[in-house]
Amino acid sequence: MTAPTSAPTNVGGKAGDSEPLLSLRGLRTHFVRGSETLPAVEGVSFDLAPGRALAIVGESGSGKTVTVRSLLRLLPRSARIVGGEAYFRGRDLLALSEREMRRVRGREIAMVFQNAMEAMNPTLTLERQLTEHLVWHGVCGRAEARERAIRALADVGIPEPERRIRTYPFQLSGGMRQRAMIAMAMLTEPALLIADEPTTAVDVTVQRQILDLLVKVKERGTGIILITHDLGVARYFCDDIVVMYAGRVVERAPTQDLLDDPRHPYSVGLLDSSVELGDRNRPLTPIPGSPPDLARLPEGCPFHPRCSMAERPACLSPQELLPIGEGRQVACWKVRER
Amino acid sequence: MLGGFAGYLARRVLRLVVSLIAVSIITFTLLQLAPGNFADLQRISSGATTIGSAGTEDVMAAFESRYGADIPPWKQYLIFMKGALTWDFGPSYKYPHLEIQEIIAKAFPISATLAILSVALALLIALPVGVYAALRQNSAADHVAMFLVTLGHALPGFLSAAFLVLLFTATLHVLPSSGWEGPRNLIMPVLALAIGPAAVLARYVRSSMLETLREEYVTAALAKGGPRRTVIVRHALRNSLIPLVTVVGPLLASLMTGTVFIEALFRIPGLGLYFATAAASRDMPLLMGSTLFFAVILMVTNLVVDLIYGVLDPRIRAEGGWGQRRPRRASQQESTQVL
Amino acid sequence: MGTTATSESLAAGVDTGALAEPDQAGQPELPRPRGQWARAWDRFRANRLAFASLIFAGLLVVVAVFAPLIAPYHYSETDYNARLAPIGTEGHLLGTDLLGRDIASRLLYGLRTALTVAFGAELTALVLALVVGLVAGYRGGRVEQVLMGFTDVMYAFPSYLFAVVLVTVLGRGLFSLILAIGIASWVTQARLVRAQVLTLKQREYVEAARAMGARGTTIAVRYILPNAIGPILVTTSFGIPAAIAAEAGLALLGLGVQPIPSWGAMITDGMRYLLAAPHMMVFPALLFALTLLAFTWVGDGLRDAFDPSGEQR
Repeated sequence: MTAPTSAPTNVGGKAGDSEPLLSLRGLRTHFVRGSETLPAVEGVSFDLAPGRALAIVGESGSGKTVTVRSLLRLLPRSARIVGGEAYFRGRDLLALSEREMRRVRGREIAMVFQNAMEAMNPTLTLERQLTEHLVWHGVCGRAEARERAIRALADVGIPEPERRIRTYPFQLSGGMRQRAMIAMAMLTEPALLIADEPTTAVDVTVQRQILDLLVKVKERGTGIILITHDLGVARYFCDDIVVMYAGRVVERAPTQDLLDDPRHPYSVGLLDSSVELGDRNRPLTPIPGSPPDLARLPEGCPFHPRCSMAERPACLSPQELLPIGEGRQVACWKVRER
Repeated sequence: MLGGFAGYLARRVLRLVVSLIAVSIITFTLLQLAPGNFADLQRISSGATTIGSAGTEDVMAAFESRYGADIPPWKQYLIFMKGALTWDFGPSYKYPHLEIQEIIAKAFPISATLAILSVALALLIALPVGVYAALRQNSAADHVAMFLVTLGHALPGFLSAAFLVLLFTATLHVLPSSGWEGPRNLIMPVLALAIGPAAVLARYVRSSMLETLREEYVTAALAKGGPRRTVIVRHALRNSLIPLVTVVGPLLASLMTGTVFIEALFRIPGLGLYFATAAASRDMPLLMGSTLFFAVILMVTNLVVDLIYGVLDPRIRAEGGWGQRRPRRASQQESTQVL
Repeated sequence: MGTTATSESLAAGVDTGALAEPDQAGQPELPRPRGQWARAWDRFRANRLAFASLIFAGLLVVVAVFAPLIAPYHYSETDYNARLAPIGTEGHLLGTDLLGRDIASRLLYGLRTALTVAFGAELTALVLALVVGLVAGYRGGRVEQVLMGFTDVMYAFPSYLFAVVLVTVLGRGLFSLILAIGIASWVTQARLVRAQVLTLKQREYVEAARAMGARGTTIAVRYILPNAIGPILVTTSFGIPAAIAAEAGLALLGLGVQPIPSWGAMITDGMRYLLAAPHMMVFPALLFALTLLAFTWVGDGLRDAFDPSGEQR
């Protein structure tokens, strides 16, 4: 994992915070499809302090999922991590061996997925699925793991856990399944929880339950990376938001700051087209154009073809993510000029 | 309407009985239409396969005493079916000193042995090959494996048998080409019989495995820190084998066909050989008896296979989804396999 | 005798832009599927294995047709002075069998038998399948129910064995053989045809044709049939090697057409003289295998040409 790293950015958290839990520097992940190379993630950096929640927001195809999967090194075979470092508790995740990585997965960093129905093995009971990784990591034996799993199910508000644990995933309601998945992730008491669109596949009432659950997780001191395309969800409990576009970070700011005053034109567009947050009377304005084709990215700023403020030739050179105010960064020369 | 398992079982058994009746009627009718009877055939010397001849007049007498000379066909059919239900098919034309059910009782275990051993061998070959090919998709090994699979699939069992015989008997002189004395007689027939099913199974295992590896729960299991091998076996392989059970039914049918030809080629005294010679010598009762028996075996095993499938897939078992064969298809997202 | 083709991609490629004015007879103009055949042919040609197999298969057909002219001897011409003669014997390039008959000639006649029976049987099956499948799919009703019931029953019973029974019934002639194999295998294809019809029935151009007053039969034959041909072609081409194998198998059991040579019978005979004259079995087996493979690869090629998404791979 060579490649130059960008300058360490001191962002997020309050002054005097301890060492960041996760420090991602210049991550670059490419997909190789035949003769084409798709730069799914191109230079993503951010920090996450312990016990804080970070939201990664963007359209589909922006590289959010690939970023977190790169952290866990769970990429399809056509993908290659070609650059960057990911410092987690003092070690570079991207440089670990597979064996060491396996010890991190599920134990120190846990992940919950968008659709619990698909993320759970339909032919194994809850008991098997919730306990197997405890045994893998040598946390405890099967019997003890079972007890812990039952308690965890109760913790997330699933009634009759001793009975439920013997059932199969399809026998639970959608909301219970999602919560069970979170319980499963938290059983090993990981330092970091990655949640990839945990509320997208459920209906609104369940969304609230899940989000409250995540709040509880955060209160326990676990760091959270939340991936979502829904700014309302991000606002619910995340401290900072990272906005991604075409594999790059275009803006990074504390949540309320971003929502009150988005700077990057893409962030502005996102808010303008967002249903949940907008003033009911304000008209919805979708962002013109369509999401970029990673195989044919424009020169320089990937957003400029759709940007109302675009100016050549300045927008044709790559935009770096640079600070603009307290705890904020933006990747747009024009915004910083103002 | 009965619900759940009992209802499903009842319905399947009913269908089985109806199908059997249909098969027996069809066979019986067809055989009634056949021109010429056994006695006439014996009087005309035929070509390659004449296998002895008995006192034909005695045979015809025995037959007529059982079925009656001037009884209409449908009554003959009923007599036959009544006999069938009581495990009494009457005497065979060709082997009049033997009752058909005796023949079946003696010959079927031999065919069954061949079939079971072949399936076992086929699985033994197909599982590792299929899994390996899936894990190394599009690699050279995968292409070679799939090429061999095409070969095994295209060539019928008796042709593979012919090549095996050429190699092991004619060239290497290590194995006998006919007879049924000891385990050495088993090797080539079982191998030849297993090649076709092995090819079909391997291809199926591979594609089932490829599909399963793309499921999100495999990635999720890895994300929990699962060791690669454990995840492959416990999550991917297990689930990809379940739909395999549905292939077993058609496989058995082709296995049954295979035994007929293989036994004929190797002169193994199994039910297939008797079936073939019954056809060649127009031994109607034996032909009907063995056909019916084949049909029963096939349908019963299909039923058992379906039941096993229900046991393996808890979704069917628990929610009373008996009768729905397809496992629910998961998403087709870009979350592609990580293994 | 199974089906492996999918239907969607083919039917989806139909160019419906030419749904034009009615011609003189009052029936609407047929929407010609333009270009999709050419595209499929290109794909087929690009597949080297399939293309080579097609050439080889074509060669085989030619040889089979002209077998009596090419073969040095008649198939039943015996030469008692040269029985069980080995390869390279003077006058008998591939040796002779137990009666002194020339193996090479018998191979050629055997090819003739195999291809005659196979094409005949497949044609029979195709015709049956088309008629029944079209009617069942388009009209539905009783025909469809009978068809489905029939296939349910036959699903259990292997078609090869059914062919054996049929041969017993129909006798030993060439036609009986063709008929037996054809009847034993039409059912699967009929199902496929019916499925195709059901899918295509709902396409817009069919509705449009109906709105313009076209009659049922016309629709079935002029609109649905041409677009369904792709997958049907594929299954037919897979049916050929299956029928070749069936013919050989039946001959192997002694149910073939005597005394016309058949590879299956030659293999059986060869078994008996395995140690003394292995060449009696080697050549039929080899040629049989090559023929089967050639036709199978053509079928594979056709299938991939019409369905490049290749779900099986």
